[in-house]
Amino acid sequence: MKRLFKSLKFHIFMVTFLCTMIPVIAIGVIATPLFKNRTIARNVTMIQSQAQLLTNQIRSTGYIEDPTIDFINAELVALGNAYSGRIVITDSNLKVVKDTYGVDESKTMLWDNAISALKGNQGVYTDDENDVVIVTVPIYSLKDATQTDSNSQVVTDSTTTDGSSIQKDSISNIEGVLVITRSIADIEQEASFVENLVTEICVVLGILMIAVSLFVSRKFSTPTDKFAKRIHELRETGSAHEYNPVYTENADVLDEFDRFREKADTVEESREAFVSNVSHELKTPLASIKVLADSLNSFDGAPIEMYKEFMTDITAEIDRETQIINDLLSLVRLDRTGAALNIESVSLNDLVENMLKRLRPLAEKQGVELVLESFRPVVCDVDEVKFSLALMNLVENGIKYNKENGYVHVTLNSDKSFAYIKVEDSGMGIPDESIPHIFERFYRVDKSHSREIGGTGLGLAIVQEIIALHGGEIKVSSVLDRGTIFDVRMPLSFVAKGEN
Amino acid sequence: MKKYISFILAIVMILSVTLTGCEKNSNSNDTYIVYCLNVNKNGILRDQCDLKTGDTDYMIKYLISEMKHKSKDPDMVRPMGNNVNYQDYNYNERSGSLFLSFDRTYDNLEGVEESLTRACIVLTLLQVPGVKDVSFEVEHEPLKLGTESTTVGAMNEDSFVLSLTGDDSVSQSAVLNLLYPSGDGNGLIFEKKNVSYASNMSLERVVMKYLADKPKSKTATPALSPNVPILNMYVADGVCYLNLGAAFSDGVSEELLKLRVYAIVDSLCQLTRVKRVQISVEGKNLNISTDAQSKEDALYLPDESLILNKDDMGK
Repeated sequence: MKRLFKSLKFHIFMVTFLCTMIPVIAIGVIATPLFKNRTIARNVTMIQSQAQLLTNQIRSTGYIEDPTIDFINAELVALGNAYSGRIVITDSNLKVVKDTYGVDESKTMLWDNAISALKGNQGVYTDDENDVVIVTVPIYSLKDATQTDSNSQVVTDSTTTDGSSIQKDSISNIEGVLVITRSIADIEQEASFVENLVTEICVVLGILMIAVSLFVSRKFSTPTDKFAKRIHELRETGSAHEYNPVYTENADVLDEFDRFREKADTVEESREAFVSNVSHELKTPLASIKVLADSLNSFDGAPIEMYKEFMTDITAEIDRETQIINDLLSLVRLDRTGAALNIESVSLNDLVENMLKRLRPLAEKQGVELVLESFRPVVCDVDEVKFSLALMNLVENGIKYNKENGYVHVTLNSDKSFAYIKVEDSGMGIPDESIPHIFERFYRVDKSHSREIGGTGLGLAIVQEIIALHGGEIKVSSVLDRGTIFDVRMPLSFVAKGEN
Repeated sequence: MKKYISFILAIVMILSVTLTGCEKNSNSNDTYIVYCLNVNKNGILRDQCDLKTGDTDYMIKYLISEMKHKSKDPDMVRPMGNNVNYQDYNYNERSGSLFLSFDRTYDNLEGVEESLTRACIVLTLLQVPGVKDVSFEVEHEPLKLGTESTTVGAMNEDSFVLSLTGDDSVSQSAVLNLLYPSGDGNGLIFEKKNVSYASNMSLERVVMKYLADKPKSKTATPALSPNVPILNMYVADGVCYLNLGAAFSDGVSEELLKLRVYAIVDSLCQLTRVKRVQISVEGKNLNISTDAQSKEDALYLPDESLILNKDDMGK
């Protein structure tokens, strides 16, 4: 159930339905009473103008003193019939002098509308229970002929708080009250008719709008449904039908999704490649060990020197295997997001010097000259252990892939924000087509010489990881048979990834 | 749900407590109305007092003193306050007539205020059982009002019209002889009804209203449905002109329509001032009478032959 209420279909349906039905219903609800009230009001003005005529006649004939005047009575009856209603006339003491229903004659009328008319106020009262409208009109005496010509209310300008004196004034020029009751059953019928019509329209429209809203909600939620289906298909079967969405937004989502999928696929591919590389690299030393061991075993009566030689080779292979595994472990450790960096403010000059000191024996053995050039003291936020490892890998590479009597130049510089370390060698260089791949794991430029040169193929991958963790950059440029230059740029202040 | 139930229970408990409380009161004192003027002295309001029903003289004296006192409610003005000098009363038990004496200051009251004051005093005292009418005397002479100085004689409830609308207007009562179509379509069934109705309604309209109601007898049906509007209705020279809405004849079989028409005609002709009925629907004459002569002008005479339980009419 909750799923339905949260669904796009439901919301589109409700929006479409309510946006059409609410205004229509609102108009209907407002229109009917408005119509009824206007019609009643119009009738009331007609009654009031009739009443004026009647009051003039009543006044001029002195009907109130003598209620037997035939032609007035005939008019009253005719008017009563025309209104399907009742006409009552009272004198200035509110004593009923004429009632076309004959019911209240001689009684004193104390209805508040009648009392108010005695003060000069015309009144209109709608009695919904009996479907009548009652109009009260004051009958002015001859003394104030001017006032009786207007339909407007008499405003007694006396502001005294003594009620009796106000009454005195009004009674002296009002000689009675005319009460006209008109049946409004016919107006009620018209109003009912309009109301029923409006209700019918609303119902028909409502049913229609349900259908339309269902259709609209379907139409606009289908693309999303199709999308979900497509992803499901891709997940289950790995491929899906071609799908061209109609709406721009959905097309955009589809594009982003496809690109994401491609990236995920690439990541998946490279992971698979890495795994197969790892197993290959791990198997290679083991294979050599096996060969060496087997040959020893199969050789009956092998001399000790041969055993010694083969064991040295086996040991070397085991060392190699250990190195590969260590490198893999450091790579895996670096891989973990949020790998803990032990950042300290370190003098890079000291760090590089120490590192070069450790590598001097190797360099001497290879016949390669190691030079350090520091332009200025550089202090940088680094993880000393990891950064040393990175630099060491770079310099080691420079030494290993070098010629006889070659050199490795390490330059150290800095500006306001960055430290710059350059490792330049006079080695065999890297071919152009290899350059984009050298930081990939297990990538070897020249596979055939890997055993002699040593190494695991993971060195530069590790370097790149460490530099990236520090927020730095590494670039490479190389010329075959001339040499290779690695440029490292490190931010002087460490900013953790994700912060700004 | 639980909250609703406990809320309703609470209300029921409160009601039962208050109602039992009321019960206690009614054993000792009854509530009587004290009619008052409103502050603007242009209308009547009802106030209350508690009084034990019993000795007439005591009740009269009590109510008079209530009408003299100031009301607790600031919007109400007791009728026998400062401006009216009441002197004495005289109650005639045999005739039920009550006479109230005032001095000349009563003449200071004029117009609407006088009418309202008088009505309040009379209506309040008429509540006393045994008081059938009230008369006023000013300086030992009957009260005279108006330009002609006509005597205002004995007054009772019928002397005043409190309102033309609402409960106060239901001042008329009558016994109606009504005819309803029988359920099996064979004829008309007679029913007597005691009714009260507002003075603003004509007796013919009252008849029509009750003809649209469900009759007491289970075998009878209403003569017309309540949603049939009466567009026009008036009586002139013994003829009742009745104009009904289209719903009266729409979708009604001719037999049933004829029965209904005669139910209406016969009922209306029971009134003294109606001898014949002219029926139209939406202004057009409705011609279905049994009498060949009246067929053209839709002027119906009552047809008593249709009445099935004529014997009941004699009672």
